[in-house]
Amino acid sequence: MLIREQPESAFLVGVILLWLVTIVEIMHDDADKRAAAMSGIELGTRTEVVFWHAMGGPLGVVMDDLIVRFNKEQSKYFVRGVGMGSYDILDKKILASIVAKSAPDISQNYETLTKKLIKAKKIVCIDDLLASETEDIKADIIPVLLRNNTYNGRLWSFPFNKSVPVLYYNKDLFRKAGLDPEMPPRNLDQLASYARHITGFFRKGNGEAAVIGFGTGKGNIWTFLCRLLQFNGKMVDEIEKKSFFDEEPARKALGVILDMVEEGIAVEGQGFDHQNDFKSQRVAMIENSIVSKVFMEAGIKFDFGVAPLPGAATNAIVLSGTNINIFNNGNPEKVKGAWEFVKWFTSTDIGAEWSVRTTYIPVRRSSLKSRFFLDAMKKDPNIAPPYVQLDYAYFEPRLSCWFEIRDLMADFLEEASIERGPPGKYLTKMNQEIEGILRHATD
Amino acid sequence: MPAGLLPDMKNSYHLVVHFLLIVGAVFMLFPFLWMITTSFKGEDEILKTGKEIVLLPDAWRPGFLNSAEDDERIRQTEIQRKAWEEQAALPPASRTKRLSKPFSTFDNFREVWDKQDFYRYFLNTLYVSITITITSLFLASLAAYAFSFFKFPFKDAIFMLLLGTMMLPQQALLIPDYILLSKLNWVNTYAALIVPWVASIFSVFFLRQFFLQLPKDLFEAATIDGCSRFQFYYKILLPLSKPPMVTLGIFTFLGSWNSFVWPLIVTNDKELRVIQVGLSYFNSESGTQWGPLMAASTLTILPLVILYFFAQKQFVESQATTGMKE
Repeated sequence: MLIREQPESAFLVGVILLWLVTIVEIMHDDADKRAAAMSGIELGTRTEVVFWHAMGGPLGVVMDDLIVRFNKEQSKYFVRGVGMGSYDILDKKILASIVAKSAPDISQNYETLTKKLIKAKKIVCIDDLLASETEDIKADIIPVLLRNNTYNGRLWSFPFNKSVPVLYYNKDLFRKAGLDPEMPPRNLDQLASYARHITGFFRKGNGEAAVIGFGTGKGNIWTFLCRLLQFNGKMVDEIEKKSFFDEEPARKALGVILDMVEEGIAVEGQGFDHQNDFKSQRVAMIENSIVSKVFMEAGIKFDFGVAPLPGAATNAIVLSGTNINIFNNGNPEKVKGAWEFVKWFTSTDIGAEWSVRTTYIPVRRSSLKSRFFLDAMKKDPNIAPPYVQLDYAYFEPRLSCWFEIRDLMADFLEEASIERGPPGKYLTKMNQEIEGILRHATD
Repeated sequence: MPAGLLPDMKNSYHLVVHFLLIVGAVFMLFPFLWMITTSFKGEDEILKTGKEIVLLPDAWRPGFLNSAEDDERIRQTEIQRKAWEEQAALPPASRTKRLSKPFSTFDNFREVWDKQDFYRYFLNTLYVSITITITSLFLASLAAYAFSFFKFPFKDAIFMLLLGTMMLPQQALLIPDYILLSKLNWVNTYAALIVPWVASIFSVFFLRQFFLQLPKDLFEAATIDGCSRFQFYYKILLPLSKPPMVTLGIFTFLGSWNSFVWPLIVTNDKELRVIQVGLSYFNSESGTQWGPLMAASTLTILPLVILYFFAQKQFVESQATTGMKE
């Protein structure tokens, strides 16, 4: 009756009923979860350590798994991992929480934020925590990671999820095209020549290439910076506030990919397009983060290899990823708990496991020699190549304005990739605008 | 339809209009169709058909629509399935190869439901969205009633000031709002998800414009007949305002249902996360899990489609009547 005579009232009653049912279900779900928590690890008298991170997908699963293990292995601290979904959100939330005096105890941060946190005296100096350790942890940290986390001679953050770019290649397509699958290209000349060979080999009668030799991301800043260093170039002079993107190495770094795309032996894709093209065998080689292996592996139905990023004059590569900060929230017990967790997480064995399961670089050199790591390498030879690159790894400038510069670079590199004009056309203007940002930067 | 057309011309006119509408509908529906059909596909299939725009999953497509490449993929999947079934039938100790389980049609939905607490995200979103929609409509209609029917000092100035707040982008308010909530100890509570959104200036503005079109005599006549201000609001104004209220309800519900950044910022516990945050877990710095993401997206838009199905009459009506003048 109500439905026929007053449909609006019936709809409203329905909505209110749905709302009540939802509340009851939430309360029911809360009760179930409390019961489940009682059968697991209880917070009890433990000190809670809140850890904000940005690990999602399969990486988040590994992270959650290791946090649960830490909580089980000791009885003094309870680490509560909170996934923020993205680095951008995490960054915003950290800044807001600092002002609101509700910062977490540990968080993953980029270097630019670490510098701000040091200035604001919001984080604990890792050197102070290391001082009471009997083991010389610092001596075991991979040198480039140690340099990356040291500010004015003091270690303020701890390396956490650092990754390197690598070359993925399809061994089956290499075999079909008559290339040795154990000899991936070592330098950019070889990369172009392999890409040319593969594209030509898979060209159909109508001239269309069924497989393109090489794929990369459109306006890929990360690999552009790697190539810049490989051609003996420089990014910025942090003291002189000068940038070097309008010089020959930068032109070569950009030109080498533009030329390959122009020739039709390489493609540039938006987002993860090149990764998808590789998985569906439309592209034979791609450059990407080693972490992509975790995401691609399950869907790859062919024999594939991972190789160091092809070099030029040098084999330099640039690290990516974040570090860990321990916050000084006025509770020494929480700082102790946070440090215990960070030490455990980056210890030789756990670090090796984290590295093998996620492909991130382990923090310690001893992890690379651990039994877990060596066994994993025997099972999967694709694990080794990223670590070969560590001896010539660098990191991006740690300027507070670096992400602003990166955004600007993305615009110019994308414009270059769409228009494919002479590299100088984009780099000159890009350099001028970057120097404008640098002039106004505070540090 | 333009007046004065001959019957033949009328038919042609209808034909052209319908053709354009159908083309428009196909364009609008295509992303949804792609999303729904992709949610039933394995990764292999999604990537293989990525450039050919093949909507139907292998399992549902009639054989004659398949290309040679499709046939080969289906054959390979069948071989893989048989090998896996044979291996699964063996005792664990005798299994020689590590075979991955072949994809079956509902695997993406299973993954969404099992690996993420999607049920809880769903409940949270429903609770938050309904609460915000009802409260916001109630408060906005009261405010709009005051701004359109009552006289009080600085009425226009206050209204302009409120409108001015609409010029501030949400991003600029994110950190100040977070600090405010933190001082109220509301971070990581339902209150943080609901309270900041129950007062909507846009809704006040929208309803005020509608109320201004109603004859003022109505209010005066009702008052002379002994109607109190609240009785006028409840018995006369609200029943007359169904179309704009429904429109606003849909806008508010949609906005709340699709909200992502704010819930992520103000909540920490998984038990308080909403459905859009759940969707983001399938998308990360180094890859997107297309199948589960599309399955989760399909589940996410389902309630919205149902809502629109129930409220479409009022929605269309409101679009027509909100343009009417007194």
